[in-house]
This record gives sequence, structure tokens and C-alpha cells, in this order.
Amino acid sequence: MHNTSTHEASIIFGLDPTWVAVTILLVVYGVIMAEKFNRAVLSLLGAGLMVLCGVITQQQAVAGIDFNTIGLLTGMMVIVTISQKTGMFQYVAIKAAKVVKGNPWGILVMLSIVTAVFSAFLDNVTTVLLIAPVTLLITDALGVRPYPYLFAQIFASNIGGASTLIGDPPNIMIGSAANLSFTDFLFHLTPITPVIFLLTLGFIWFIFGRDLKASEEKRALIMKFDEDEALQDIPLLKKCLFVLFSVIVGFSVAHTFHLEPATIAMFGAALLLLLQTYGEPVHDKDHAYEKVMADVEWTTIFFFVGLFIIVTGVEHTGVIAMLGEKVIQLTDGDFNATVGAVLWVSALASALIDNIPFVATMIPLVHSMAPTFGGAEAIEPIWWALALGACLGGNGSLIGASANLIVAGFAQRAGHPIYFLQFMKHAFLLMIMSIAVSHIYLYLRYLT
Amino acid sequence: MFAEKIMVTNVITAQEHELVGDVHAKMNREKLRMLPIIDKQGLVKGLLSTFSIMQNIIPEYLISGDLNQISYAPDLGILCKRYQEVINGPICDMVDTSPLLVHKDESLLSVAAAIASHGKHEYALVVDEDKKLLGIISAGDILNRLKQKNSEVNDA
Repeated sequence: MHNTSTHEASIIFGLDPTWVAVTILLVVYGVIMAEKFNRAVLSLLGAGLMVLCGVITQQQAVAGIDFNTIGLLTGMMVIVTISQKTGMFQYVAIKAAKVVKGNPWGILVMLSIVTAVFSAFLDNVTTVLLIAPVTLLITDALGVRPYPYLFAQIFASNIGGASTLIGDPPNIMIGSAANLSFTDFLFHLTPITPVIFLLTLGFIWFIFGRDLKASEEKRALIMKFDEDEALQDIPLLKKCLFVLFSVIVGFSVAHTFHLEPATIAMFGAALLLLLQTYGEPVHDKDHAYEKVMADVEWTTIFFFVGLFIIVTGVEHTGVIAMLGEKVIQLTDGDFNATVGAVLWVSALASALIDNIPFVATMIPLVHSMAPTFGGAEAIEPIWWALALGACLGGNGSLIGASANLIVAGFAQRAGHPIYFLQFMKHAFLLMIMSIAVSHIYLYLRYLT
Repeated sequence: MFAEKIMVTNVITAQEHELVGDVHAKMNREKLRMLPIIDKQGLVKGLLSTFSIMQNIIPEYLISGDLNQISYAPDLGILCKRYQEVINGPICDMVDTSPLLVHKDESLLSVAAAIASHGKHEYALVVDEDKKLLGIISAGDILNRLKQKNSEVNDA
């Protein structure tokens, strides 16, 4: 079963490398799901075992790490870490609430739009970390239940994240693995996400919207918020907006100049690090750099590193290629059925398990289907199905995406806990609706 | 110089089951910013400060997220509402259960270094081997003792 021609490591105790690799993968994924240990530690332990057990060599392990994904994530984390200090996210959220004159349903719609747009260009977790507290402050002022607002924001962050290359980690991984550019994502995924977003808001109106009411007095309180006060550092804000704009333009043209998104993101991060303290004493600059570096989510970065090595180990044994063949057999080699299967399986799996390890495993599986369906270009719709399924599937349950758990944590601390089944009752149905719409979109655009 | 020589021994304390409102009133009456919390046997259970009471009144979502500040928000009446909720509850939820504990035979240097590196409060609780409260030392007590020593040296 395993590919002996490329297997240069010596497997421990003469065991079958396939079984060793699959056991490591399943145990690591199982313990990650149990949420008893830090997921980065688990993935690095699994990665270490892949090498120690002789499934792959250290050289093969390092070669398996997708440094484009790592660089893009790290670069964007640095940019967001610096940008959030300016208060621009709070400024936009408050401005949005005031535009609708404190109308409770209007605020829900506006905050959802803000969340979706920020999530399309920034990390979902960061977006909800910044918007959710302002939302709770606003709902406290309005005297309304925060649950509908937080529910809508979870959906907005995952739908917004699905629309671009940089919006959600699964898209970053897919873009890098399939050599799909920022503009490819804009052209293929962005058109469907506003449709799904509007339909979702429509359903949320039916579920919660009609009960959202606030007195004139409470609405007047919203108008007393002073959004200008939220802006903390105007010079830094200008630098951040300049770098963010340049990076997004850079992503759009990167493919034309044969540049990887990681190069753009890392360059943008380095430029902003330089600009943020330009002209200040060396000691202050060093202190600022160290603070930014401390705020980067290294746990997530190392989680990715370990995960790439684990999947490389499993891929090396040939088991993923075999699974790919099985999927094709199950769908009788029918391309339409394969696209549909990838979409729905990804959505259901991502609703229940972390979509990052799932996508990491699916990438080599989808790659392995290319020869059957006529090459790398021909399987592009499968990549879009995987991206839509993995990102939107995260809406299906409270544990489906990291942003969901962050919002749930805030709600708990605000004295309005979100319960797993309470959330799933509406969320799973809405997720199914979004996947059905995605299926129709994929069918009409690529499969007819 | 040992901790027992500079510690204040007539310490006013509270117990975990007491209500926040009562303990706060006691602190006001005695002009104190913190109280050691002990059990019936006099063993240290923690420390309650006016800072931790205030921290518990502020909605946690405002201080645990990534908000830098909320100077843009008007007074929403949240604090008054939360204060009303909090004062009728027991203090156990807001007690710092890992206060700085020192032994009576520790040197002044050791106590001062411990307070400075602990960072959470400017107080050290002096306890015996069973964690029974013997006294309390504040950063101010240490400075006063140093001032006194300095005067003695100059006079000599």
C-alpha cells in the first residue's frame, strides 16, 4: 500500500508505516477533539512521532510544511495586531450602529456586515474578538438580548471568511496547495457569499428579528456613543490603512508577477513594523517590536507546522491517494457527484471537527483525484467545493469554528451563555441552507 | 531584620461567607483598601481588595477582550446595576486565593523583593507553617522602617 520508492526513513520495529501514520493521525485528531490539551502541542507531538517512528525523515517533514500558508498567516497576524491598537474596528462598529439611528434590527444587520467585511480580509477570530465586546456594550445600552446579535456575527464571520483567499485559514491552505490566487477566490467564491449572507439574515429576521425592540430613550443612548473617541492613534491608523490597502492590492496582482501571497503579507508586516515606530528611540522601537511579536498567535502557527508534517507522513504512505481512489469509486468517477460529495462531507465534518486539520487532510486527497478528472485545472471546482464546505460548515455548531467559541466565551462572561443545542437548533439548518445554495451555485457555474 | 519585627499584628480580617456589601462597609469604616480572608481557624484563604471588587463590577467582556479602551461609550448605568447585583453576593468569587505569603523569620530584603516581584498587591501576609495569619506588611511599612533606620544612622 505504501510508496516504498520514496520512503527513505527506517520504520520503527518493522511496523507497517501506513498503520503507524494513520494511528498517529487519528490519535492526534481524537485528542484535539477532546480539547483536553493544547492543539499546537498535540500536533507537534504527532509530527515528532512521524519522524521518530521512521514514517518520514526530518528532511521530508520540513519539506512538507507549507511555508506559504505559514508566512501568510504570520504576516497578516502582525498587521492585524498593530492595526487593532488604533481602535479602527470599534470606530467602524459604532459608526455602523449610529447610521441606523440605534434601531435594534438595523444594528444587527450593520454589525453583521461589518463583521463579514472585516472577516473577509482579516482573521475571523480577531474580528469577533474586537466586534463582540462592542456588540455586548451596545446591547447592554439597548437593553436587548445579545444572543441574536452574536448568532448573526458568528455566521457573518464564517461567511465573510469564506469569500476571499485570506478570510479563513482553510482558504489560505487551499489557495497555497492548489496555486489559486487572491483574484481566483474573488472571481469564484466572492459572488456567492453575499447571496448566502442575505439569505442568512432573512432567516435570522424570521427567527429573532421581529422581537428586537428598544425604547426611544435607549436608542438615544446609542447616539451618545462618540466613535471619534475610539480612534487612539491617528498617525498609526494612516500607516495601517496604507499598508492594509497596499497588501490587498499586492494580493490582487501577486499572481501576475509570480509572487506568493506569503511574500506580500510578510513584506507588508515588516513595512508596518518599521513604520509604526519610525523616528522613535531605538529602545522604544525594540519594545514595540517585542510586544507585537508576543501578540502573534504562535500557538496557531505551530499547530499548522505540526499538522502539515502529520499529513505529509500519512500522504507519504500512499493512504490518502488510496482514499481518493475510493471516493472516485464511490461516485463512479462522476465529476458532479464528486464535487457534491466533497462539498457536503466537508460541511458536515467541519460542523463537528476543527476544519483546519480536516482541510489539511483533504488537500492531498483532492490532489490525488487530478489525474482521473483530467489534470489540475479540471479539478478547480472541487477546490471551491472544499473551501465552501469547510468554511460554511463551521457555522453548523458551536464548536465548528474558532470564532464561534470566542463569541460563546464572551456571551458566557456577559451572563448570556450560548448553549450547544440552543445554537445548533437554528445554526445547523442555516448551515444546510448555505451548503444547498453553494451546491446550486457550483452546479450552475461549473457542472452544467 | 525579620518580618515579625515590622509586621502589623492587629489585622482586621473577613471570612469567605461574608457579603460583599458588608465587607466593603468594613473596609470603608477602617479606611482599608484590602482585607485578608481567613477561615474559622484563622488560616489564610486569600485577600480581598477594593480593586478586585471594582474589577468584578465591570462586565468581564469589557476587560477580557481586545478592546484597548471604551472612552467612546457614555455611562450606560451598567456599573450601578452590577454593583447592586454584586453587594448582596458572598465575597468568595472575588477573593484573590494566591496572595503573597511570607514567614515571620524572613529578612526585610526578602519581603521587599517578594512584594516587588509579586506585582499584584503591595501587601505580604505573614503566616506560620500552618498558614495561620500572624500579621501583615505593606510596602509603606518597609519604607517607614528604612526611613527610621536612615534617621538612626544619621543621628549616630
